[in-house]
Formats: sequence, structure tokens, C-alpha cells
Amino acid sequence: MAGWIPMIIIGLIALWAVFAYNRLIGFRNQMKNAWSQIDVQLKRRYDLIPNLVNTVKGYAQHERATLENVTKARQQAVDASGVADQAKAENFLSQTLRSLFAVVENYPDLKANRNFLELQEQLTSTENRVSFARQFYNDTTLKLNNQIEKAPSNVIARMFSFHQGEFFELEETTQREAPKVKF
Amino acid sequence: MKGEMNRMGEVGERIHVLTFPELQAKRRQKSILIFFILSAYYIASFLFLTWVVKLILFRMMFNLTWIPLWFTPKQALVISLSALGFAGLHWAFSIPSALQKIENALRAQPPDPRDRYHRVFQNTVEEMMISSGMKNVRPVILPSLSVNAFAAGDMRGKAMIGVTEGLLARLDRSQLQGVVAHEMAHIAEGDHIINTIVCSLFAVFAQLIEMTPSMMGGGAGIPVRVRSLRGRVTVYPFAVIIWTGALWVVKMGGLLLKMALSREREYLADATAVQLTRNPLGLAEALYKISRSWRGKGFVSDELAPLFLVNPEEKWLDEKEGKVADLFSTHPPIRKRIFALLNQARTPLSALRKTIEEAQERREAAKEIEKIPRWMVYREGKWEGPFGIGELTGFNWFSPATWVSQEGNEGFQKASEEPLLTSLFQSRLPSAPPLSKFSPEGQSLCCPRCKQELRVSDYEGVYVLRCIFCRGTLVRNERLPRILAREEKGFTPEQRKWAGQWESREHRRLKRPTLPGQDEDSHLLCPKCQQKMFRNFYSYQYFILVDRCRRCNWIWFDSEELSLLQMLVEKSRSHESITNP
Repeated sequence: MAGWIPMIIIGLIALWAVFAYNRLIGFRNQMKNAWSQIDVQLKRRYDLIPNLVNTVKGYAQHERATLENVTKARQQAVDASGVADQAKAENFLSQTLRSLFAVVENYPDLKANRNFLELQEQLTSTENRVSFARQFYNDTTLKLNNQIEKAPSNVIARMFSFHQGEFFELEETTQREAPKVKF
Repeated sequence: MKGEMNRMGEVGERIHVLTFPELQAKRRQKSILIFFILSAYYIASFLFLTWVVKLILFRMMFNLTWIPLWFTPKQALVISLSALGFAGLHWAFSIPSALQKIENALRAQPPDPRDRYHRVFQNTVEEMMISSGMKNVRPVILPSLSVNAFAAGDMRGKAMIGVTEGLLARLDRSQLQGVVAHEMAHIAEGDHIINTIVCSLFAVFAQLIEMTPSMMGGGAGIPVRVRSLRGRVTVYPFAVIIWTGALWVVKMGGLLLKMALSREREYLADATAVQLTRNPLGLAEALYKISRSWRGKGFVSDELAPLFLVNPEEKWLDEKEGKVADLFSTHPPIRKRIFALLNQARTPLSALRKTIEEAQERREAAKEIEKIPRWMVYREGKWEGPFGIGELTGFNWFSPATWVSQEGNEGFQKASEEPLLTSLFQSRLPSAPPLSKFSPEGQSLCCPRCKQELRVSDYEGVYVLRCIFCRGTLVRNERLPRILAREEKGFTPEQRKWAGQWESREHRRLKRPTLPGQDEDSHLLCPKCQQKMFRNFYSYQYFILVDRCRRCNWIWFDSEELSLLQMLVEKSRSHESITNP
């Protein structure tokens, strides 16, 4: 009888270890997935911009400079490599887009255009998606880091050498704001 | 009441403000506790009911005093297990097609990809799926003018979030996002699973209550008659009363616990919604707006009410605070929820109210009065006009090279540079190329009056076909309610005057006043199938004559008829909304 008790305890610990390990793996995969989701959404944004530029071009020929800026900023963002570079390019792109939408205010015909309204909504949504994807990435990273640091799961984390995730941080808070759309 | 609200707003600034992770933790703990109490209560009530049965059988009916009323631990265990077994059976049978049933009961429809409002909704749902990491959440639309939203899910990980047309028409993007986040939070926190478990626990009691009359051989309150072997009839007047009484007590107790759990989950979903959007104000504004509108009483049955964002029933309980009122409601008072959100944003209620009122004013101001485009035309050294597009068609001197200036605009240009006018020249050519070859309907449709090609256009966010000459509108039957729900378009004072005249005349006698540009043609032909359209009143509430094609499901509105209908509906709706709480 006495021999059973340690066996049961060992069994329970092993069970917990498996559970904790799986939890860590789950969080890590979720984090990776969240990271790739950010890229997916950024890509979506790059794809939308040429359409937007073309639609605006038809109505606002005088705003060639603003439009060229947007196209240039997009190209920079596509070409950017490295996290810091990317963040900077994205920042610039958001700025140019904001100025584009400010310019559009002067063109009532354009604002009523079905195509433009559609693109504007898609772009707003995409901007939101990018920021929500980053937010979700950070939320999952937080969960993973908590698991890695907190006792007792930190033992498992050290045993299987789990590394803490890095948070995604923005240099400028303005980047979180999507270009405002008024309905 | 106003003073009280303001006071609470101020208090919110002084006390320690709970952030959403703290709120989430607090609400989660509390709801787990209630859930355990509920399970314990369920088992205890089974034991209690067995005791009642024993009491009736062995003490009242047959005098078998040697059988004890209480249980041995073994018996108690068997009863508890079979209680759980009953619930398990209910659960097993309740799972399949639950979503489908809810969908059918609410007449939910998938969003229309060609509708601007629906696309915004679909986008917000997808955004919230990203921010919560959820998958397989389907957006649906409830065709109702009420303002409410719901979430439902099943055990296989499928879920749906639905909003009413009324909600889409009233809320702006960030408010809609708050609402969707709240519903997504319900799904992410697994509320549908908890709901199903709780419902199957208590479905057992409901079934017992239903079965009682047939079991006892009569309706509730009828004394039980037992015929013994010798043919003697004995009457037990209290047996049924005691049994049904016991069942009701058990059921009511369960209901109270169930509601407590439901309220706790609502608070939790509010807190999680803030985690998903990081914007407590969106949801707070949405709740504030919803609290002042019709929420779907009569549209939603009682069983489905707990699924919704706010209780569809506007009971006095819902808005009252205090221990008693709280106990009997599936949702916490909206006011408490708004304050919980406002505290997180450190915003007083007065500021929220101001934002909403300002937004409302901005919306009113931005309502675009539809301009009928007219042009000044430069001919032989002087400007003539303004002419409408129909008049321009008649001038044989009018060419793509004519200088035109749209009324209200400063600049002028060649007629060929005006997108609206170029089509005019194209349609003049002997073999006019079809303009909307790629119209989603698969073919180009012509105006039943002018026989000119109809243009795809966006009317209150809805996909419609319009004639640029007579301004008539062709709408799919099922899309029309959406136009009536929305208030994006403004009306000229002239149009409002017609609406007023229309109403006053209509009340006196059933004579139809005519609108400018409307004639008494006998029958129009459906643009699609070329069959005669059926002319009748839009409804017996609004006596506006419209032409319908029953086969193709289109409705044709002559020039002003659609805006007139909109104005009349808007007017009748303003009576039903709730005044300042």
C-alpha cells in the first residue's frame, strides 16, 4: 500500500508536466501564428493601395504629388527589410495615407463614389486588422512569457529551453490610429 | 435620477479604477463560483424531490412509516449520479442543429456582399476574430428594425454573431466594433457551452413540470384518486399540490442562479470586449444608444433572450437598480454596465452624452440631400440653362465638345469629360454598347419608363439600379427594408412638404395625391422578364403606389416615391423610440 502513494504522486507530476508542456507549446504556436497574421494583413494593405491611388487619380488630378508620395511609401514598405526599417516605412505609409484622405475631403464627387467608399472601408478595416493582429501577438506573447516565468511552469520551460517572446512595440503612438473615416 | 447618474460618474474618478484584466479575473472567479453552486444546487434539488416523492408515497398515501425519508450515503450517491445522467442525456440530445435552430427562429441571413453596411459589419467581425484569435465565427444579419445583437455557438467550435438591421443603421464603426467585440468575447469565453450545460440541467425540471398532470391523472390542483384493488377510491387532495409546489420552488431557485450566472457573464464579456478593442468608449456609447431604442421586444422569444446583447424586453426591472430588480433579470442594468466601461476610460457620463449628441448633429449635417444634376450649357456665346439630363438629350446641337458647367460648381468643362453626359452620347449611337455589361445581375436592365439603361448605384448603402433620366429606382424586394432602416440620406424641405401633405390627405380619404413627374400609366413592364408589373400599394400602412414584379422580386419606385416612403417610415418610427430615460 505504501508503495502506491509515491507512484501516484509521480504519476500526477508527470501528468502535470505534460499538461504544462503542451500549454507552452500551444502559446508558442499561437504567437508564431499571430506574427504571420501581421504579415498577411500588411500584404493586404499593400495590395489595396494601387487600387486606391487609381480611383483617386480619376477625380483628383491636381493631387499628383500626394498620390506619388503614397506610391513611393508603399514601395518602400514592400522593400523594407528588418523590423526597425519596416516599422519606419510603415509609419511613413500611414502618414501619407492620412494626408491623402485629408485631401479627398475637397472632392465631394470622389467621396460619393461607390468604388472609393468601398476602398476606404477596406483600407480602414485593414489598418484595424494590422493593429489588432499586433495586439493579439502581444497578448499571446504576454501569456507565453507569464507561463515561462511563473512557478512552477518555469521549471518545464527551462527544461525544454523555451524562450521569451519579444513584444512588438511602436515608436510612435500615432501609428495605431487608422486614417479616420467619417460616416 | 439625473443627479444620481452624475454623482456616480464623479465617484468613478475618485475610487480605484479596475482595469480590464482585473475585471476579467474578478468576473471569471465569480462566475465559476456561481457555476459550482448551480451544479450543487441541481444535485441537491434532485435529492429534495426524491424526498418529496417519498413523503407523498410513504406517509400520505400508504402508511409505511418504517421506510425512512432520509437517504443512506449510497442512495444519495446513486441519486446524484442519475441526476447528472439525466442532464447528460439532455445535453447529448440538445447539441446537434442548435445553431441552425437559432438561425431559423431568428430568420438570420448571411450578409449581402453588395451592401455597404453589411460589408462594414463583416469586416468588424473579421477584425475581432483576429484580435481574439477565434476562428469559424460567421456573421449573420437579423432583418429587424430593432437595435440588438446576439452570439451563439455549438460544441463543434462553430459560432455566429448576429446584429439587427436597426443596429447597423444607428451605430457608427467604433460602436459597432464594441458590440461585435462583446459578442466575440461571449464566444471566446465559452459562454455558449456554459449556457448549454445550464439549460440542459434545468430542462429536466421543466420536463418534470410538464409531465406532472399526465403522471397524476389530471391537471395541477386536481386531487389524486387512487383506486385500490377492492375498488375503493381514496382521494389525496394535497399530493399534487405538494409535488408541483416543490417543483416550482426548485425551478425558481434554479432560475435565480441561472440569471445570476448570466449577469456575471455579461459583465465578463464587457470586460473582455475592452481587451479585444482597447476602447471602452465604443461599447459604452453603443449601450447608451441601444438603451434608448427599441430592442426587439416581440421579435425575440423568451428562450433566446439571454443570447442577446441587451435584454429585448424593456422591463422596469431592467432599468431599476437594487437587490430585487437585479435578481430577476438575465442582464445587468445597462446603466451599471455603462458605468463599468466609463470608469475604465475615466470618462464621466456627461462627456459620453455630449460625444453622442455631437455625433448625432454631425450626422444630421452630413446627410446628403440628393442633387438632381443640372448643367449650364455654353451656346453661341452665352450660357443657357440650367438643363436636366433629359432636356439635354433633346437638343440636337448638344455635342461632346459643348462646354458645360454643373449647377453649383465653379469650373466648366467639355461635355465629354462629364461621366454622366458621355453616356448620353453613347446611347444616341445606333448600336449603343451596353454600359453595364458586367452588372452583377448578369445583364443590363432598362428603365421601364424611359427605356434607358439603369445605372448601378449606392442608395443608403444598398445596391440599387437607378434611371438617370427619370430618377426612378429599382430595388430588390428583400433589400428594401434596409433602405427603410437607414437614415443616411437627407431630404429637401420641398420633399418634406410633400410627405406632410401626403399624410394629411391620406388620413382623410384613400385618394392618392400625385407627385410631380408621375403619370397614370396603366402598366409598366418588368425590366428583367418584360412581363407586366403589378401595381399596388406598398403596404396598407403606407399608401404609396409601387410597381412590383412578382416573378423577379423587383420593386420599381417612380421619381420621388422611394424618398417619400422613407420619410413616412422615419416619421412613424420616431414615435416608437423611447424617450430620455
